[in-house]
Amino acid sequence: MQHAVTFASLWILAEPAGYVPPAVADPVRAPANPASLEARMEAVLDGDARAFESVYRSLAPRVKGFLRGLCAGDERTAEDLTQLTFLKVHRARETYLRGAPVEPWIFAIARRTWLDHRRARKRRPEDLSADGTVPEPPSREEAPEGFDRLDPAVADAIRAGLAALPEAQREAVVLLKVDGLSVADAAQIAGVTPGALKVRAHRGYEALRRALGLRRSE
Amino acid sequence: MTDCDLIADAVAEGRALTEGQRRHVTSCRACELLTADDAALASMVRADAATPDTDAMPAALRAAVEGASSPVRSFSAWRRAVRVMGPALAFAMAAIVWRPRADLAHRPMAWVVVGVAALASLVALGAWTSLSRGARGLGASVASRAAVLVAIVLGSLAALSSLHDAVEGSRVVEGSAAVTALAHCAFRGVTAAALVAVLVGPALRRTAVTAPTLTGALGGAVAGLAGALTLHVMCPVAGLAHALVGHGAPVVLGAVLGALVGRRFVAV
Repeated sequence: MQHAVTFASLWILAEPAGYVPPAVADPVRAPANPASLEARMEAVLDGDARAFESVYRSLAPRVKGFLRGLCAGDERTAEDLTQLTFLKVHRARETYLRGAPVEPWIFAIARRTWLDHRRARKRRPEDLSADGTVPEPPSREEAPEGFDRLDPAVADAIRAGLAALPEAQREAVVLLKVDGLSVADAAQIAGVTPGALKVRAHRGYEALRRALGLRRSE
Repeated sequence: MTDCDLIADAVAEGRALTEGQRRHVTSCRACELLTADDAALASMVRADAATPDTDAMPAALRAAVEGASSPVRSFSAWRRAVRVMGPALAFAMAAIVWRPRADLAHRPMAWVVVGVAALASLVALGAWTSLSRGARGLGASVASRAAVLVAIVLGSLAALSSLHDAVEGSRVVEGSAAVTALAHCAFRGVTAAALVAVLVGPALRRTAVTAPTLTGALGGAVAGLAGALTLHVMCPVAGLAHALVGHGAPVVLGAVLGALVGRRFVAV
């Protein structure tokens, strides 16, 4: 039954008219403030704390989605890292180049935050709660009413597919396909050449497609 | 490349298809399946990553932001690069004035100027590359940072070897004395580099949005180069091995330590 749902959802979500580039308008990503992100970020540099909140409201959902992809679906960690990312963004606001695109800059900081977290986890693999117990495994947050969430079976299949990818491929897929960044920006954020990023994305996407394709044939 | 290859490339890179490619998709079953699969997967992955709009910042973040929301100066790579180059070059120039090696007076002045200028240029190039924001605000590309790092290490070794031959006023040491002199110079050079690193560190702190390991290595190489330059205008010992190993050590060690330790310091 689950696979039937996955199969049906796959084709419901498919765009039969052909390829749809990732940069399509998405109401979930629509900025809350009509001023451009760049203008708001410049206001932040000028000391406007409300502008920072506006940038946060516009980009936090995407940053969280990006970090959730990197964390293989760990909602709680993604939430913590999102806050930490924006704290770093504020602390490092001086390094923002006026007029430059805000999104790649913030995603680069988010990626660095994730790498630092991963390194810390390697040194201290198990987090304990304040009372010394092992915390409950992360669970998917409840979507508010009216928010169009994927079917849980499909979401699980995608998350399993993403989690199974090697880290470098997962990162490339998330940067290009989830966040719709350009190859040049994504490559610089990932610290590789554009050619290397394309190869990683291609392999990751193929693997993801194969993984979901296998599920379809089961 | 065939149309199918170009379409597969576009799909992998997330580029929009051209009109001609769209026409091809309608007539090619394989491309039709590929693009449909891609669209389905992209939609699903994006939908899974989508998160509801955020109403407000968490209280802790709001408090941190409101507690430190003073205006900041616009980032200027030039201004910061000068803060790096200033101490680095001033250190070496002070060495020339304070205690220049005796044999410098017996060498063609043009040769000395070219050698020192080459090393100073490498300091400037390293400082600029590690601080440049690039057109997109993410810093110089990884490839250019790596290329400048290699240029600094190889260029400094080439420049250091340019004044190694024995002339009047220089000393040639051999045997165990050579090893002692080499270790002595390497220690003095690394110490000088550490002092320069302390001086230039604040200008590099938390500036690398991307590739902090490479940027840390560049910063370390710049400090090491300043140490090597200082040492080179003071040490009268002649010999290629001495110049390359004893005087080149600060550059190589600076780059390695910068990559290992400086990474955390320069990362945003």
